[in-house]
Amino acid sequence: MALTRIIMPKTGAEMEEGRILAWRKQEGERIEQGEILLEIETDKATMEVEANASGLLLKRLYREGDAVPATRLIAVLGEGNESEEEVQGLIRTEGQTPLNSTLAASPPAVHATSQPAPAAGGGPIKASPLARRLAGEKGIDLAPIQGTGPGGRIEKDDVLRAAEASAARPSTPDDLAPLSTMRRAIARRVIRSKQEIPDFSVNMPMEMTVALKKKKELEAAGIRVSINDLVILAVSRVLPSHPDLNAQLEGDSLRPHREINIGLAVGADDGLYVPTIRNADRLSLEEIAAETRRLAVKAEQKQLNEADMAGGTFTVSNLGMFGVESFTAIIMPPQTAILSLGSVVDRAVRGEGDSVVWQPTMMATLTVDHRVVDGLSAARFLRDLNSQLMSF
Amino acid sequence: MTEASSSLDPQTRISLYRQMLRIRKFEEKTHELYKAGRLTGMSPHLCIGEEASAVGVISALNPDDYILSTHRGHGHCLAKGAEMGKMYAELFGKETGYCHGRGGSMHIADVAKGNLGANGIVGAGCPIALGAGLSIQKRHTKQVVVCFFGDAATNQGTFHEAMNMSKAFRLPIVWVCENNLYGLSTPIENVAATPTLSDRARGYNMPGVTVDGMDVEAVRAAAQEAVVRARAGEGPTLLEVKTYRYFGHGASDHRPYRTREEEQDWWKRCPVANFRRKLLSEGVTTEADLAELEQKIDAEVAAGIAFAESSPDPEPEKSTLYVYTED
Amino acid sequence: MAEKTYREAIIEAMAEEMRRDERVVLIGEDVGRFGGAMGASKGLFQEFGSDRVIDTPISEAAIIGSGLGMALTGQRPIAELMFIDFSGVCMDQILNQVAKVRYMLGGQVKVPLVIRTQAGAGKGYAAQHSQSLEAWFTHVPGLKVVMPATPRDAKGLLKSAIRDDNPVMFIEHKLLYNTKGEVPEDPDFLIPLGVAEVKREGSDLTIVSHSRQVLNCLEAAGELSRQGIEAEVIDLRTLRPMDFEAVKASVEKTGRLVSVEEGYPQCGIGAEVVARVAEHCMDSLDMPPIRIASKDSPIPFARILEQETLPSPRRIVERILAARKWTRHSQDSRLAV
Repeated sequence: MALTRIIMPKTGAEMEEGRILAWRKQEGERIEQGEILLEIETDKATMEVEANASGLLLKRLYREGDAVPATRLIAVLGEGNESEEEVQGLIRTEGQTPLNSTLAASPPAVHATSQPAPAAGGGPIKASPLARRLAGEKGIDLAPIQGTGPGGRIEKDDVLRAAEASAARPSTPDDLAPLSTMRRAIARRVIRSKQEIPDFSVNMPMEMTVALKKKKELEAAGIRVSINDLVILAVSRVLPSHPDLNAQLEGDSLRPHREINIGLAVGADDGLYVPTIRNADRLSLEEIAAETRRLAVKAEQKQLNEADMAGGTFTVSNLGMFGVESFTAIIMPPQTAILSLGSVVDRAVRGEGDSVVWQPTMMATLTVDHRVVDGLSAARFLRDLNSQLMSF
Repeated sequence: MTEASSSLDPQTRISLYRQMLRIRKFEEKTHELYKAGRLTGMSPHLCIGEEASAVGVISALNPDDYILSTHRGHGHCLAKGAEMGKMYAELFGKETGYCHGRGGSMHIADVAKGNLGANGIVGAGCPIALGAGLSIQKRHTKQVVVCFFGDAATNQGTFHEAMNMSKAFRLPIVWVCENNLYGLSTPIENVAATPTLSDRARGYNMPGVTVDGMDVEAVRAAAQEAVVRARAGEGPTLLEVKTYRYFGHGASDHRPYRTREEEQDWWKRCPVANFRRKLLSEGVTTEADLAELEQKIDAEVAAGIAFAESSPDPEPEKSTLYVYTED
Repeated sequence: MAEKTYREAIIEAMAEEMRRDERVVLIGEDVGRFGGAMGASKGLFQEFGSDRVIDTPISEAAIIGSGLGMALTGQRPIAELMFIDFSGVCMDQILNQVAKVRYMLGGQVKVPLVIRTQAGAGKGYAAQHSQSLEAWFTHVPGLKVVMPATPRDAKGLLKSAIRDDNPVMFIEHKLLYNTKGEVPEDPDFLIPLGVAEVKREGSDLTIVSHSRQVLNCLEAAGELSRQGIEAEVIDLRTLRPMDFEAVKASVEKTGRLVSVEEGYPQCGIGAEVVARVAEHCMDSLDMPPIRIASKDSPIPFARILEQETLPSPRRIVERILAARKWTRHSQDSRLAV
């Protein structure tokens, strides 16, 4: 049979690279079509990659921990009767070099150590089977570990020390730790945003009396919704009248989106997830609330997949629950706007006569791409949003 | 050579004939089955031509006496009382065979009948016979062991070790050398130091007797003398039974080492046909009675094969059964 | 409990079983009045007489065949093969007869036969009287293979072997006969076949051995301990059936495997142990296994050469120390996994 190429799958339009978390098969091992070959982590999720054919795993071109550009060849399957030349030939035609020279070309991120990396000159990570098993169980990356065994072999104790060290963080300022794939992805995105987008922000206090009343009514009826859900509902109802804010800039053209998919920024220990509430304009408040909860739970359990996070057209970010009154989020390219929500605070306003009335308000900050819209558009959106929040 | 005795009663003589004919027919059918491709594995080693040895010797034994057999052992097995059905089943490799398909042609034995096993290694039964003899001696049971082996076994070290020790310990053993003249293709006269194999007994200070192996009554008489001696505690005897295997060593042996004329001469001495003629000419029985007896044996053979063929195969997942007693 | 030699333990085991069961007999060269070439049957002839303690000619095939024939006809013989090196003379009887007759006959017979023999080097007996050929027999289905290291094990295992309904190769070691140890006197004291024993507990590595090399391993473990490395020493005791579970449990604890044997290095007991560990608990290994055996040559005569050929405590210690950089008394190595 011909050799079968296994590539780093491109799991979303925006995926640029994936990190190999774990190989499930050793070189020389047989794998059936549909069996899990490896686990990868993208900037959005971790996922399992199935073999697209049955055969022997002849070659793995990257090791666990390596970040690999999407669609790059990562492994070769065959029948086992192929010559080494054939396999190497395929790898060369892919413009790639086999694992050992890959390693030499891009040394793994390592802790500063006095000794040179043992794998210099080639070969996969040298670790005892026990060390590999423990590393898998404890989620320790073998690549940066300096083995103390013969020839730099990583042994059990090395893994246990690494596990202890990682448990003992925060680390001392002297420590240098590589960014996770997700952080690196976020870094790329925000840099792109700040470099490309001439943004500015407009804010306006939203009057929340009606919204809070609505929330209380629903709670009395046993339906749990959050302020955030109410705002998302309001945003989704207002956006159709502001197509420039639900669009993407492509060169000198603007492409309005037909759908209104609200991205919801969710912070997690390991970074930022932005799951999407699709077609929010067609969902009821309760449906939005349910969807928000579902996505939040998945984010917490790190179960979000590509589909959960794809297709956002406008993003809402909320730090109100931490007491933040206002802040300015960064636009997620290629979107044109992002709404930042603060906490609900009582503001003193003039009531009838000269009385002082405490009014619950929430500061909403809209950040927009000035290439697409001006301050007027932003202000109108906020005004409409405020009206919407007062008309539940 | 010992003269054949005709002092046997008619019933015994007919029984001798019957046993020889059972062996002959069993083997002929086995040959047919193998040629037809219905038996697998190593071709059976047929004892056609040697029936008088098995029947003559074993007819001199009591049921609780022991025998040790050889790779050419179907005759010994039948003569010692085994059932055709279970033997054929073993040849077919069936679960109902004597060895549940673990042994095959070369290892068929009915141990309950005193057959301690057939052996695929030439001369290997001799040391084992010593143990059976020692056991009898210790238990004082007056049993006798007959150890069958071929002419070629007398050139094995085990034979000499066993001959020596059996005499040194006066063990109740009858060593029966079935001299069919060839060790596969090699004529025994080319490779044996003593032209008469029973002469080897002299070196061990035991009686050595050669008997016409094509005459069942002569074999029986000679065996009886040796058995009596053994039972009386007077030690072992080497009995050389001069016989002939009409077929090759196995199915692929087309006998290029001997002439068809030689074979014809031996066919003229066929132990079964000649004994039949003798019984008729001496008025021991009639054609009609023999025809009936022969029919019965044909039926026994047919029933045996039917039983074997209709028997189940051994269960593959139990292939390791019987390696240890714990299995 | 009394202190006895390995030789006395062997004799005692046979005597007790012969008293207990009239069917037990001993047969072999010089086992009678002379008391055995190794003195391991002294006194039995005097107690049980020539019917049950049988001196044979120097005819090894006849001895093993006799044992088999007796076993097939209701006795429970012990056949003594003076040196394991002589098994070549009677290998057909062991390999093709004793080991296979039950199977070939489809279970019609039992073979309650013990073949007692002795192996091992260290006495300047040269190439034909010093071998450790236990791997040959361990290879063969149908046999059980027992190789005790201590007087206590020798007695308990030999009694079990005699009571077993299967053929057992019971291999003593010629250098052990004069070693002493506590031996229970209870006539029902038995050690079951197929059960290994942890002769020394340790957490840093597992040494698997059998027969006299167990003593060398224990000595080596003592030296390693002084250097801060705690070795667990497992005495297989029975090579077939092998108590692999004991090995596995220990390797899972220590993560490191060393096998030590006196036999030849290729296809030896160590090869079997290492292969099984690779098959069944590879993921527990933290170090490539180490196999220590005799050098790959016949056993030489000259003492200086013979000592060079055999595994010794020193060689065991050196091989282990050289295998990796040990953290002496490191707490880490005792961290729960």
